[in-house]
Amino acid sequence: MCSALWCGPAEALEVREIAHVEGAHLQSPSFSEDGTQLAWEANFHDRKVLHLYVGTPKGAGQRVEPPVRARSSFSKGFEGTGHEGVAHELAWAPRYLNAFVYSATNLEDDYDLYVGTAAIVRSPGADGGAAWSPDGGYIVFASARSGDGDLYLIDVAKIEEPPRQLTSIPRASELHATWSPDSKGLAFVAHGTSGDNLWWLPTLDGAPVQLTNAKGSQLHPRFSPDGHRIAYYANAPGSEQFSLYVMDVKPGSTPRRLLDAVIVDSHGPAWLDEVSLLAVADEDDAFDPVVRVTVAGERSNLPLDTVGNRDLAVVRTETGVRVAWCAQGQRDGLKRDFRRLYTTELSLP
Amino acid sequence: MIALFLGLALAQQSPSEADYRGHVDQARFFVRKGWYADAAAELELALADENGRLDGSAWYLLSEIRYRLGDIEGAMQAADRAHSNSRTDEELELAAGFSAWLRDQFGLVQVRTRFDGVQSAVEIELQTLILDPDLKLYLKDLGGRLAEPATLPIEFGLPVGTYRINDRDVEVRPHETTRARIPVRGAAPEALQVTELEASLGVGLWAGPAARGHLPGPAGRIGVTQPVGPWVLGLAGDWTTRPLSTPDGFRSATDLGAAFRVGVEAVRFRDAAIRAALSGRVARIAGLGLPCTGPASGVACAQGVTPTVWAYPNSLAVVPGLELSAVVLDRRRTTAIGWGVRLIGEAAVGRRPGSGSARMGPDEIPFTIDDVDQPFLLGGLRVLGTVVWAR
Repeated sequence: MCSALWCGPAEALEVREIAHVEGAHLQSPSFSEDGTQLAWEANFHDRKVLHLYVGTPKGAGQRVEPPVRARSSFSKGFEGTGHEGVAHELAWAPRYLNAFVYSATNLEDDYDLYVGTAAIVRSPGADGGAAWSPDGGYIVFASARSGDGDLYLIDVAKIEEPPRQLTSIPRASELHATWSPDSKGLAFVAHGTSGDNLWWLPTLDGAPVQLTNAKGSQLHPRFSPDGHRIAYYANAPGSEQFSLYVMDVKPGSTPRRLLDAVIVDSHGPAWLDEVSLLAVADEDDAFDPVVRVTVAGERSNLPLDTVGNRDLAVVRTETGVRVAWCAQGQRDGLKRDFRRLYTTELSLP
Repeated sequence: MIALFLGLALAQQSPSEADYRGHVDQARFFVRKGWYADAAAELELALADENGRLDGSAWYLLSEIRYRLGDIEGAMQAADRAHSNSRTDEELELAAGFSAWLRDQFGLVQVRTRFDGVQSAVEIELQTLILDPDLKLYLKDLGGRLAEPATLPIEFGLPVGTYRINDRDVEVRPHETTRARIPVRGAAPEALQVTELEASLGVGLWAGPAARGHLPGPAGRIGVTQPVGPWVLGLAGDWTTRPLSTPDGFRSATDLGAAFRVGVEAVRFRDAAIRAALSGRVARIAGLGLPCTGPASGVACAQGVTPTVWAYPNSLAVVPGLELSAVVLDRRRTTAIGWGVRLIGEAAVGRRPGSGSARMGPDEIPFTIDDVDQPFLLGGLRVLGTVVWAR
């Protein structure tokens, strides 16, 4: 049966719990380009430790850690390696590369970037928030090496060369970089004293263009699949409540609010197609439902039986759309201690 | 006070332990300077010590240094020793991790050409994408080292992937040795700074008034040539036997000489080189006839006399010359046999002996030569084919 917004049973979609880790909230699921692999994080709040896992949509995740070698100190020989830190912010490369990049702490509790067993960025100052361009040619990341937060670019074919600084907006830190689908440019957030606003870098050699100019926070932009729009979260100054917005990718475009009160996802809003997105509505009475909204403003809840939903990941497959998310548990479930990872399949009309 | 504590600390170590630690500290200093070969040498001294041999951290440092030097197999062996001598779980993890990384990320490649002993540059083109900056830098360093011609076969470690090595496709698999026969590259004649032994045979001729009646005859030479940078130095001993037309019929005259030469390789094309050299030779030239007259007890010789007898004394001459040679030699091999052609133009400046004795039948007849007829000048030409053995 198809509604205006999806096809499937009206009562509830089939939900599969694929992972849980004792003592940790699972978060930030992320599908590889072809949907055959799924990454997620386990957040041990009490120990301030984040573990990273990569598995399949059916589960069976394996923990991803920086290699022992990357934690060694060449000129010092044997020195302490027993170090549990943070590994997080995984970003997938396109399918043909069969790789991903992630950020993890080193011995000095500084964050470096890793690809597989290799540290690709080792520099004083935290490096993270990496995003791999859809064509595989570049990795953009945020770094505090200069003292401010700036975006840097790695040319994957010259991965041994130092990264190139892409942005240096005065009195602002640049972060939350996201690639346009054609890999020619990217959008990001400039975090300044007067607000966090969206900027657009149309080309990698060009100058950034400011897209929004608001006093609140505009966060986690994400391009629509056709690259014509950007969806993001924004709030009013001083408010903790964020809403979902969309705007055309051109300076002076007027943002449109699609959904009030959403739960912010670190990967940004999840586009289903060129005209609709999935988001988690911040509605306690409805157990924080996952909703589909269109750019025209239509909304409907997905019939999921999970509660306390967070962090959506979406990938298109041959048969439809695969969705992963984290949730506190299922409505009739007994366990609601730590957030778990769930998946389901959608068919779009 | 610090010196006192340091002295006490050193006093508590056995002399051997202090010695090997000194080498390790020196190695660490060299590592900080980037002098990896020196660091490896220091560590090998440290690890030759009976206490040093049990120091896992020294083995581990050696394994990383050998990796930096491109000696993957040596790095693996040292990492294994570091693993065996680890004292804590952390050391164990580190050594095992590095050893596993080397085994997973590298394979060994042995490249050779059709003949062993050939010198060639080895050009490595990566065909797959490598996402590890360390591996890319390793490849860059290795490529720089192999750009200089080396004597093949050689073996080196390469990150797992596919490559073109001197235009041959090579796939490198983890912890496997791949053997590849490659074409020779980067032929550099200077690369073959080896001694060439040569044997030449051809034709020689003297021309000039003093060499009247001389005909072209077989000539030979045995020499040694040593390229020194762009210069070519040589020593040779030579011989020529020429037919000589006399009033009594044909006879033969044999010259002997010793020569040196200094030259350059003027033109090079692939395995061929054209060399130009200036040479100097001291030669005994035979058969330069003079008419003589007088009784059998002693004749006097001079130009223009009506001869009753002809004398053909041996004369000493200094023979400067210009030598052009074309040599074809597989110059990328340290041992090779080649061939060539030599053209030698020379001038002999000499002086006949003032007196002597000449054999006439069974008798020796003394002769004297008028002073004015003693000096002579000859022009000479030799064309020789040469076989060269370079080693």
